[in-house]
Amino acid sequence: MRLLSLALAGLWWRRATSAMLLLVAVFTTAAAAAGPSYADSAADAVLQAALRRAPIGADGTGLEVTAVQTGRPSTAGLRSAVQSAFTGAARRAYPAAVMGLSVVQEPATRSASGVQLVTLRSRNQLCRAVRVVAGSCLVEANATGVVLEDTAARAARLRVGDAVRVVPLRGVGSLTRLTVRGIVTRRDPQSSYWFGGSPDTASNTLAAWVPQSYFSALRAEPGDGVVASADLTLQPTAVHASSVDRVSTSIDDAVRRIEAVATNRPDVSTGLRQVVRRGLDGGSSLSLPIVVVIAQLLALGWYLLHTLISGAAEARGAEVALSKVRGMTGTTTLLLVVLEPALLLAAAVPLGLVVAGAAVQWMARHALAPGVEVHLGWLSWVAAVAAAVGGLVAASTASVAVLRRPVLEQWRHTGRTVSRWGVVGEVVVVALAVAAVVQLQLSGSLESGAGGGIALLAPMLLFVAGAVVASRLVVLLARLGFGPTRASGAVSAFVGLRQLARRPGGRRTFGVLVVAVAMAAYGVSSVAVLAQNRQDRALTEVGAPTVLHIVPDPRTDQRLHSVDAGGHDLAAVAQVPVQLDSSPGVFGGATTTRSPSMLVVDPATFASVAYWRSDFGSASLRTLLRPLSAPAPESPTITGTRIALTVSAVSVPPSLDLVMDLIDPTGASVSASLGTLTSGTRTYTAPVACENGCRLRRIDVTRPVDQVGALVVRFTIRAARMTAGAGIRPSLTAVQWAPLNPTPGAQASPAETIAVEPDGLRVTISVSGQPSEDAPGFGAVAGVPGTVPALATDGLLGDGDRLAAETPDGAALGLHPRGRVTVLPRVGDAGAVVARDWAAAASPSGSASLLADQIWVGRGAPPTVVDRLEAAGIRVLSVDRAAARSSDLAAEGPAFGTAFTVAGGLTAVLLAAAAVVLGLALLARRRVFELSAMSALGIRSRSLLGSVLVEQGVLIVGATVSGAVLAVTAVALTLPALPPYVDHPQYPAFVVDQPIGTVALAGAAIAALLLVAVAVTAVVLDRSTSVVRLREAEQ
Amino acid sequence: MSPVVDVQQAVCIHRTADSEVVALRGADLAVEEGELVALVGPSGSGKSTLMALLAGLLRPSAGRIEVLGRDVGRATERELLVHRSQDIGMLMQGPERNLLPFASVLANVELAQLGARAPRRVRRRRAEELLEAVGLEGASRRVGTLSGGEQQRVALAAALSTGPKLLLADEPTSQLDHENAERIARLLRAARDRWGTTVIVVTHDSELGEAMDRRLTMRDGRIGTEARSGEQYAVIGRDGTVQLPADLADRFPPGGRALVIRRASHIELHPMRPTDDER
Repeated sequence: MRLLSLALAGLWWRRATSAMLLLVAVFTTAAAAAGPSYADSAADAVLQAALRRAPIGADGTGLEVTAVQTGRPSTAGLRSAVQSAFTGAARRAYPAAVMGLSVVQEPATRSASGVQLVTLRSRNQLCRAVRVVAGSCLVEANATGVVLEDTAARAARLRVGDAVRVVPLRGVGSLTRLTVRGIVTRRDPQSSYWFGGSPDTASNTLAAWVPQSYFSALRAEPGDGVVASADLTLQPTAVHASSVDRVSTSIDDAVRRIEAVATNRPDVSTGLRQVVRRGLDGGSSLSLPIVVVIAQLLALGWYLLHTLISGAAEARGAEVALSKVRGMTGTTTLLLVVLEPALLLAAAVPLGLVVAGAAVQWMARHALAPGVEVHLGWLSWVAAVAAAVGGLVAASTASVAVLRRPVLEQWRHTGRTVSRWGVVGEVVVVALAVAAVVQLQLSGSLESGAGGGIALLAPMLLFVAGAVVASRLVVLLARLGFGPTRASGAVSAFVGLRQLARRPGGRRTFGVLVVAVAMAAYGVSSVAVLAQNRQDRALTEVGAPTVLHIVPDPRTDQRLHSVDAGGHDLAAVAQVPVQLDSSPGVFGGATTTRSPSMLVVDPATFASVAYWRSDFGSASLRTLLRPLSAPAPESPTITGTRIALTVSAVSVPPSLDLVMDLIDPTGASVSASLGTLTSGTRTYTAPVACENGCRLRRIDVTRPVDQVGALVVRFTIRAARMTAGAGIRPSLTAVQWAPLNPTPGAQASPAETIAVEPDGLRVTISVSGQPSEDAPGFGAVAGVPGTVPALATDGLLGDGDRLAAETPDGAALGLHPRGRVTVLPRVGDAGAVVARDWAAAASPSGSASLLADQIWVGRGAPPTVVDRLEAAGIRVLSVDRAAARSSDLAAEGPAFGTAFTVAGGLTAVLLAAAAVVLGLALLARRRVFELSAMSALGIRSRSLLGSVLVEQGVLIVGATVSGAVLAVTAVALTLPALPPYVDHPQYPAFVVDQPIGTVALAGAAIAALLLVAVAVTAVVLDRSTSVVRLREAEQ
Repeated sequence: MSPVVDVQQAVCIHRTADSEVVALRGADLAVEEGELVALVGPSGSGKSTLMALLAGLLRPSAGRIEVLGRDVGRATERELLVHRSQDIGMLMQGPERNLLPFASVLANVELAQLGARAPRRVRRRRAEELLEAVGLEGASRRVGTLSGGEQQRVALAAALSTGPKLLLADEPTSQLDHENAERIARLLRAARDRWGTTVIVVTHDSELGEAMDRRLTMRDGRIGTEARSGEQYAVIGRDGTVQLPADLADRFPPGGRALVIRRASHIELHPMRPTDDER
């Protein structure tokens, strides 16, 4: 008790030192306590993000209960069952249900629009959720009045007042004639009311909303398929990482109760479990970086406590000596020394928990997500106590060294003999750091269980080892400076360097500073690198800053031009899934397992807008796309309403028709039958609807299906002209032609040849055997390139140098890679880019399947670009934004982990700053005596102040530079091994492009902060210096 | 009766990383119970080292040191703890070596008895008695707020609080003004008179030295001369050497010769003028 009161009195007597020690202890315990708390909160944030990102319907977080209805269908029974089943946590997770009824019936008459089924649905409170576009909304009194969503009405070509007849159900009382009462749109299509369902657009199924009274009029039998449903939307804030098990159990119980209560055995479907599992898996990836940071902070905190308490205990050497002189036992003396830091550490536990709670609250709000739960669980308490116990051990070891010193040494303030164990320890630390880096490089990854062991601490070990080496170097450099500064008479510099070289406390402070700056710089740099990689990945996956999915339209280019005449910010892109020809030798063996896609683009605008990173290819995208910009082979354009073809033919078999295939401006195929081909020279005419110009695609000869076997025919098209209209440009002989079916079936020699002769275009068809059934016929294709130049990925090409692909509409595309890249935006490592002109020329069906379905929006586009595009007539279906994707990635565990790294780094800097100031304060007394002695020798006060500033300046600047260099090195060595995402994307490659400028700036800021603190302390020290103090110094 | 302090041929060598310093070179000292002894001499003559040996803070490199019948050179650490906590009291120079500045006057005196394992009640009563004896009021005052003289009196009270048979005082008046120094001298004598405490004082203060029964002058790690009752004696070493008083050093320079003339009643010592060759 006596010792306790003495310790309390001592703490108060040394209140400045005590406060600083308490600060360090609080930081240490707070850092330890914050780790588990932050991990929990971040895991919760990841879970919340997963819940919010998942579909709200039953395929995601929603829960749907359906029950087949018999007799008079009603939602009342199901509602009651759901309400009574969902209680407690399940009720909070799913607070309300939207009830509905539905049945699928057949239309009584086949409509012109091709509706084959009619889905009739009711949903409670429908009229509140929709806006009436035409007519009026549902009324219960009118059981046969239905409303349609505008999309459904458009697809079925129905208007208000139209009748919809349905085949009655087998039961009695079915209504058969329904009238469209109104056309509606959804007020908020994203509202949970719709349970993730999108407006119906299918043309073969008509979805109509009916009042509940419609169902009341039915007499349903089990096979009629009348279903009542309860759609329950998850309240994400009711599910937290800490409570997810409880909520899941409660929901399971609720489902069991429903099954027990409901009369008809209901079906319950939800994807919640999968979503939650994904979220929890994502959260678990947090633990690794957080453990690393906590370990680093604890090590630093304990080291600081050891250092500071060593200093504090040394400063209390007289008290220790007195205790020994008074004959107190070793235990009593130890208690006398340790009790003070022990009390501080005891106080630091609750204070640290409070600080940790506040810090995690702040971080949760700013770095995680709003609404994330923050609590200090038992693990935080354990961590805080463990940190304090560790601090106590550090305090005890620091005190023991002081206790062992003889009394006379304590009295005389003689310096301690440097222990050789210190050097051994430094060698061990350096060796461990090397081992950690080697292990890390060998394992390649710091995944849980992969890198493991010592590699986990690689960054911290690197920092400590670097600090050890740097502190040796700084002493060496200081010694080297003795001579020059002595010779030049620079007292300040000489004294400053001397203090730095001989004072062990300076080295310790230097080491602490190096580690702290390294941690902070590591945090800043790693966050920047990871953010950049996230952004790169998002842009690569999306393709451009923004990608709009649009309704394909032949006029897209024209409309796009009206919005972005220069083609700098917008690019129309068709993303076409392609089938690869797997025949050996043609397709060289792709190394990717992804479904390949082809981007059909205008190379110039695409190069301006698409995202590109230098490691994707050997040059810029514009350079790589240049070969694709060569003009595509032209095909003649026919403008007019009637065409005439003069043809000379020989050996013409009977029933061989001559047909022209054209493509109208909308991309639709137009066929012009010129009649049966006969021997001799004759002019064939046919009407064509090409007032606005059609592209001549093919001139075919077709024969009846039942005519098979050998075919030999030769004809020459001598002239082509429009009998009504502007004409044909360019002439048929001026373009490149290709045979439609060069080698049908197993025939080895060419079946078709096409040649431009002086007298016209000569087509020779000579099929000796049986052509295959799916052969496309015979004829000449206009303006067709042999192959289409493409820019393709290595993963798609493999070892080959050609690609035989097929578009969804079955068009064969021979791609000739004119460049290889590792990654292409949006299609990744399995894709190719071709020019639209070439693709259209190579596609037999023209451009219909190659119409742009996306608009890529570049960085420079104005924010109103979507509105402007819609105003120009482009219908935007959905929007992909790279920023949103990047945000999603930033809401994953690893990203939250790096935020903690930064916080840890800043904490380390604060700790180090406290250590510097406290270190100076603890040394102040001795330093005052030294300075007083020098003052007595006639050295000016300014020089003495200068010496302190030189010493501290070298120490701080040297430590800052060393720390920054160490951080940059550690980031380069260790960051690629830390998992940056929850998944493991094949591309883009993780790039460590460190923001050296930012790191330098952060280092400069830290150095400036510390220099100010030191300058203030130095001035205070300088004012305390006087010759009078020498008398005390002599004691 | 055996002396309280019996030092025979004590040698003490301080070893540092790169040198050895011989602080005591075969010092002899015997102090009887109740004596007041002053150890004087120049800095580095070995006074404080001898005090540290007597307190058991150092162990002799050679020789024998017995204090109150205990051979402190061979005593165990536990015995030395008992030695310091019960047998002897120590009064060092400077208040920070004697007292905890943040504790009260009373707490400091009580704390000094902690090693003696006396009950708290006894400690408190003893502390109050001693504080009264040294003439200090305001036992609850914090030591750091006291004047130098007051602090030294508290330190003396603390040193005497365990009722030691031997009090070792190292420069007890070094930071005190004349009046306070005189007061400390009186208190030391009073301790001997009241409790029979033997007192050994290391001091540069001639007045304090004069106030003691015996004044031993140390030089080069040995006790050279002794003054008692106004007489000055040279101490004859075990090897027969005699250290002359320091004030004769100019007449008998080191390396010189002295002419010894035996008379019936005394022995005369005359400095011999060096020959020209010797010059």
